[in-house]
Amino acid sequence: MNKYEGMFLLDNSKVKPDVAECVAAVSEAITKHGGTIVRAERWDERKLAYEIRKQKRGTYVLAHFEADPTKVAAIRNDVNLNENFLRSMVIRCGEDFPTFLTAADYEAMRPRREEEPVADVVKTDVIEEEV
Amino acid sequence: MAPNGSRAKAKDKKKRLKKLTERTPCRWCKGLKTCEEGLARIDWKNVDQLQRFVTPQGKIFSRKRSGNCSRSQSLLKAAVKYARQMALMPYVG
Repeated sequence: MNKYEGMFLLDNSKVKPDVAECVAAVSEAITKHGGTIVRAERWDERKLAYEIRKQKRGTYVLAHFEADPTKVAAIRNDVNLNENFLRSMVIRCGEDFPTFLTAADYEAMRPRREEEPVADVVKTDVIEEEV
Repeated sequence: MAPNGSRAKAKDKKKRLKKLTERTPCRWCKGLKTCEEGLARIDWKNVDQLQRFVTPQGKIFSRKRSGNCSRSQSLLKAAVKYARQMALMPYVG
């Protein structure tokens, strides 16, 4: 069993963008092939960067799961055939899962101009180029 | 021209060139003991973070522009491409 991080983009017109249904759709796809879900949550409902199958908005679900490496291809294939899913991304994690962060967490991490930046925010201020 | 003067000029030019070609340390690895710590912070789901390394259009900045080291640029490139595939970031031609 390997550890995987999967992100799934669901079609808003086919799956109701509420929490329970989205997570259920994803966990069903994974458990069907003998995977065990460690944590699955709705990540965000947002406007897509580009249209996919005439959809302008979509719901993201992030899942941390363990699965047999031979079954992952089957999960990917299943999700690609399923019309409820617009996109999917399954990435193998190393030894441990990365910290589970939803879009709201990322939003909270974002440094505000007025406030003092939070200590553990990634420092990515633009460097001054010496010219 | 006196030989002394031209030598001084050449030295000056060398200094300027050095200043131009000097790189600031990569911002991911800067001040950390191991680069891995810093590189682990590159996250393809963190759109805000990635947006600092692309143009408003969505093109990835060169290493010269972003100041990334070779490894962080490579990881960042992959992260941006993951984000594009998931429609978190736009594709640009």
